[in-house]
Amino acid sequence: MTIQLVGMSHKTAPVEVRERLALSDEGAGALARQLAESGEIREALVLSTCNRVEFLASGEPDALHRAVMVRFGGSVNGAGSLYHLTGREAVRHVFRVAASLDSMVVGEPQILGQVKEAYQRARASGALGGPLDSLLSTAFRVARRVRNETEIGRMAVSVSHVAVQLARKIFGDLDGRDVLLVGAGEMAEAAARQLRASGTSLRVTNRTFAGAERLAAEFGAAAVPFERLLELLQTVDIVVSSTGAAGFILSRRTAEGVIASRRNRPIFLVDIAVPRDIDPRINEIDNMFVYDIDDLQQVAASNMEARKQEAEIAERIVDDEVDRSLRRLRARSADPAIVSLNRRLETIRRRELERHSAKLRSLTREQREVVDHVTRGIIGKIAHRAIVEVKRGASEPGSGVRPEDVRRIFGID
Amino acid sequence: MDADPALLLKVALAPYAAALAEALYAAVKPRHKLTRGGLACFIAAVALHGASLALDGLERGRFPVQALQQLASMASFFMAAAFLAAYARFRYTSLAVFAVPPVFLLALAGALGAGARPPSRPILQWWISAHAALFLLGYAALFLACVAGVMYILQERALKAKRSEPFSNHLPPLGKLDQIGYSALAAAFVLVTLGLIAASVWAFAKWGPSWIVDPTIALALLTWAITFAVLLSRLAVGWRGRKGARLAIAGFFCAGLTWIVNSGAHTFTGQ
Repeated sequence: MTIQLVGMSHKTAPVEVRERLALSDEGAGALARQLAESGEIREALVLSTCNRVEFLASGEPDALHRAVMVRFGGSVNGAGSLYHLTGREAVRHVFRVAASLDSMVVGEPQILGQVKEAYQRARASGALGGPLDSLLSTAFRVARRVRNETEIGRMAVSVSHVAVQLARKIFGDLDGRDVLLVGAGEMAEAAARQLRASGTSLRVTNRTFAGAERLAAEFGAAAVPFERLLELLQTVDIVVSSTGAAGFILSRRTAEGVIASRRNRPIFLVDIAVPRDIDPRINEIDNMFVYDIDDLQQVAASNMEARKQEAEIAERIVDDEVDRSLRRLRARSADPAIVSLNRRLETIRRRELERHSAKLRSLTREQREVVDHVTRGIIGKIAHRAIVEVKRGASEPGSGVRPEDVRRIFGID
Repeated sequence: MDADPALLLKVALAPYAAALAEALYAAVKPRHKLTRGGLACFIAAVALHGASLALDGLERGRFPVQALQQLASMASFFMAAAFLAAYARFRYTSLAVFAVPPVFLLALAGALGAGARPPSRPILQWWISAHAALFLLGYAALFLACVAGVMYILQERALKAKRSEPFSNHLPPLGKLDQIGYSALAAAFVLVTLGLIAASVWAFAKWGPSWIVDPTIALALLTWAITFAVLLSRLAVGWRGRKGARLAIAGFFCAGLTWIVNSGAHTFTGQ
């Protein structure tokens, strides 16, 4: 019984190759079932996302690779982009994928959900239910552990996400906050969209009112004439600015007036324009927070760096968990031998009791119970050492005894 | 065995210390999140501490603040209660990093001196007990405002410097800290005002018309004035955010300082 994995990901194959293997949700579930029914493979799971297609199985060594090559050998021409992992490496890979350490953007949260869905589908189609099943449950636990014990998912790494995270640090809950989008621009619009998704209400202005109306229509927000900018600055909480103006549209002097008339209510000014719209010195004023595109990018970059550091901690967690689950898996590999040993001894006991049933019939009920109890005790004691040794042999290869030795000694076929 | 208030307080030190250890660990390791265990320890400690104070009060038949150690113990208890109230309302365990150490130190000071009974003096009247309790609660609220202020300044500095500090992810947002500080300040003002009224009633009954020169009253007035000034600067002048945070910190220390400076004149035995 070997855990094995065959697959390709964004790291080994371009999308032109990946798409040839990609499967629909139903297709993945059905394929998992087909694989698991093939005899050599006991359990199977198929994960198909836009960044990876992976087949995971427990069964005879190499069985999965052969099955995949039979099915997809033609479409992956020579399979140079396929990886084939077994045992420890396969377990490690599954844990890393679930914990989002193998993702294109390390720490992105979607992959765990995708693995969980693949697991549910494979389970529903009856393709799981053995060591692979418990391995996947462990993978989910490892992913949770990584999430809880590292900061890997908590660091925003895109400019728009950084802007939202900063707004949260200033205001707390963003629900019901007022956002003003000044001017159009891809990144500003992305930031506005993200802010809106966090529950803020959005207003839009532009130097030409027609431009403002066009933007407003796109966002389903209210358009406001540019002349009212100063008035709006007194009430809104967050400004995302991205005009094509040559100079500052908000000077430090004006800003001082703005914060006074706001009675020091904090305001977050996000300046995504180049050349800049907002005088950076406004950041020196209390309760006014100015971030320009470089500031945001710098936060994103240092978060990215921090994610890498966190990823190292996560890798250590994964290594630790791989060791543990391999130990568990190995210990469980002795289970079938132990079960048959117990069954064998119990059969012997029953047979012997039956053989002497005529003589035992004269015993009282209590006496028969004593005989039953004593014989059980004897086979238990005989089995005990054998079980201990076969378990030791399973968890520390080279020591103890092998399952087949136990089978031979006790005549189990 | 009779429950001994001093012993109870010493027992309470153990869970306090456990909570402190976790708070300090979290301060060094921003990654570490405070656990339920730490909070449970803290709540257990506060319960024991409260029981100790209640027993002490019952035994003496009066508000148990007569010696400096008792005051420390009582102040620590109220500060702990203020922290728990703020936690129940805002759910930021990071407050603990700042709030638990002073609570522990004051409880320790209280425990070290506990048992040494102060000389028997005339019983404090009800009014002066009320004054003491209200003022201590007021200090506890000021302390909370101060803690929120310190956290505000740390968070604001990180935001203004545009650095991505790991600790900043674990501090509450500025808006919440401002709100905590403001609520605590408002509570402090109400408590100190009531405490001042209680002290006045007591002093008037004791001293008659010359009550205003009593050091207790002078001190109470000063504390009240500081609290009022901090609150006013915020409400009338609109000093919030960093300035408000600084003022809250300064207010707490000024109130503490005036009390320490005057504690010679300010006896707790009603003399």
